[in-house]
Amino acid sequence: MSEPLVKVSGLRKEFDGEEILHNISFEVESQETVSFIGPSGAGKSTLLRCLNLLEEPTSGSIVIDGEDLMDSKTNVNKLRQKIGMVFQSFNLFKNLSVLGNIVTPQTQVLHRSKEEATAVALKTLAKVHLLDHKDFKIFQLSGGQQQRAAIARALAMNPKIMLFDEPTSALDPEMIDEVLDVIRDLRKEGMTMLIVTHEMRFAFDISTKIGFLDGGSLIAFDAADKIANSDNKRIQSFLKNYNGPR
Amino acid sequence: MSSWDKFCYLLQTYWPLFLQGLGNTLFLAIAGSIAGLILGMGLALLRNFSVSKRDAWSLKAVKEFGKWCSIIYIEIFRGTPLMVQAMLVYFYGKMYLGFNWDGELCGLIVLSLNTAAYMAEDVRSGINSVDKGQIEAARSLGFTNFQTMIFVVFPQALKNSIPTLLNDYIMNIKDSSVLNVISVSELYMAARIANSTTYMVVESFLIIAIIYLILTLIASMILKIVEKKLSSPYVKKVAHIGRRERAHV
Repeated sequence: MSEPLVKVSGLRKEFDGEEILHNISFEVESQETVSFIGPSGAGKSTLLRCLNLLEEPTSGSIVIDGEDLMDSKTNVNKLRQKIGMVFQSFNLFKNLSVLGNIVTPQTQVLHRSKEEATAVALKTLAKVHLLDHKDFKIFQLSGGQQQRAAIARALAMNPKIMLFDEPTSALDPEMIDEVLDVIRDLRKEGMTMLIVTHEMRFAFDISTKIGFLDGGSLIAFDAADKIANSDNKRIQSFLKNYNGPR
Repeated sequence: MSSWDKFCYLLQTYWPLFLQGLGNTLFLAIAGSIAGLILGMGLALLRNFSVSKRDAWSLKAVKEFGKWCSIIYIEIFRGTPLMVQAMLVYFYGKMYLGFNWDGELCGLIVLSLNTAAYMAEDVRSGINSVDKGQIEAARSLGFTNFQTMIFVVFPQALKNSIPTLLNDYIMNIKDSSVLNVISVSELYMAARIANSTTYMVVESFLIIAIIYLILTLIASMILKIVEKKLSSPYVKKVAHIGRRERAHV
C-alpha cells in the first residue's frame, strides 16, 4: 500500500506550558474526507492549524505528501501551497476585490502570469457560483458568499489537501447550505479534505472517517458509521445532543 | 495709524514676502510629510519584524538589530524638540562636516527625519490594527512574511492610519515655524522680517496666524472628508461579522 497523504503520530501542542493536544496519531489517505468533531475547546482547530504550521507543534511528527513538517529544513511556504485552508471568519483580503483575492496569491506565490491566474480564478469562481460577483469588494458580499470566495481562493492554488476550520460557524443559518454544497461538490471530485465542524449531519453524511476529540485527546478515529454506533459513553452523550430535534 | 491701517499697510508692502513664506511653509510641510512617510514606513517595517522559530540565527540577529535601530531612532526623534534637532544637525554639518549648506535644505531634512519617527508610530499602530486573520490567510496560501506585508498588511495599515498621518501633516504646517532658527524663510521668518523694520509686531504676527489658521483649517476639512469616506462601509460590516461570531461562541 502506498504512503498515506497525511500521517500524524504522537503530536503534542503546548501553550504556555499547558498541553492542549495530547499524543495525537492518525492517517489520512488520498481522496478521503475526514471530519473532526467534539465539544468546543477540545483542540480541533488547534489540531487543524498544526497541519499547515499556523501553530508550531511542540513535539511529535507530521508528514504530509512525503514531507516532514517538523524538520526545520522543510520549506514551510512551499508546503503551504499544497494545503488550502478555509477559516471560520473567511479572512478574504479586505484591500482587494473578489478576483484580486484569487489572482494575487497565484501570481505572487505560484508565479503564474496574470492571464493564466485570471483564467484559473474565473474557473474556480464558476465552481462556487460567484462568477457574477468577481468585481465586488469584500464588504459587499454576504457571509456565505465570502466563504465561497475564500474556498475558491484556496482551490485556485491547486492544493492536494483542503483544511476547513469551522467553515459555517460564523454564518447565518440560511447561508450554511450554500457553503456545504460547495464542499459536497469537492467531495465528488475526490479532493482530500480535513474538516472541523459542528454540523453533525453534514459530517456523518460526507465523511469517510470521523475523529472525535475531547479535552485535547483523539478519543476515536474511525469510519463514520462506527462512530455513530460507538459504545463509548462520551461519544454517545455528545451525539445525543446533536441527534435530538434535528 | 490704527491697528487696522498697520495691518493693511503690511499686507500691501510685504505681500511678496508673506507669499514666499507661505510657499515655503507649504512646501516644507508637504515634502517633509511625504519623505517622512516613506522613511516612517521603512522604520515601521523594521520595528514589526517577527522572529520565527524556524529562522536561521543570522536572520534572527539581523531582524533584532533592525528592530532595535528603529526603536532607538523613534525614541530619539520623538523625545527631543524639533528646534533642538534643527540646530544640532545644521551646526554639526557646518562645523564638523564642512557642509556649507543653506537652512532650507537642512530644514527639510530635519523635518523629514522628525516626521518619520511620528509617522512610523502611526503606521505601526495601523499595522497592529489589521485583523490577524488576514495575515494567517496570507501565510496559509504560501505568502512569505515580506509578501504578506506588501500585498496584504501595508495597504490596509496605511488606509487605517490615514487620519493620524494627515494629523501629523497638520502638525508639520505649524511646527515648521521653528525652523526659522536655522534661517529657513518660512512664514514665521516673513513676519519677523516685516516687523524688524516697521515695528508692527502684533499686526505682522496676526497676519501669519491667519494664514496658518487657513492652511490648517483646509487640511482639517480634507481630513474630515477622508475619515468619513474611509469609515462608512468597513466599520458596519466588521461590526456585523463580529456580532455573528460572538453569537456562536
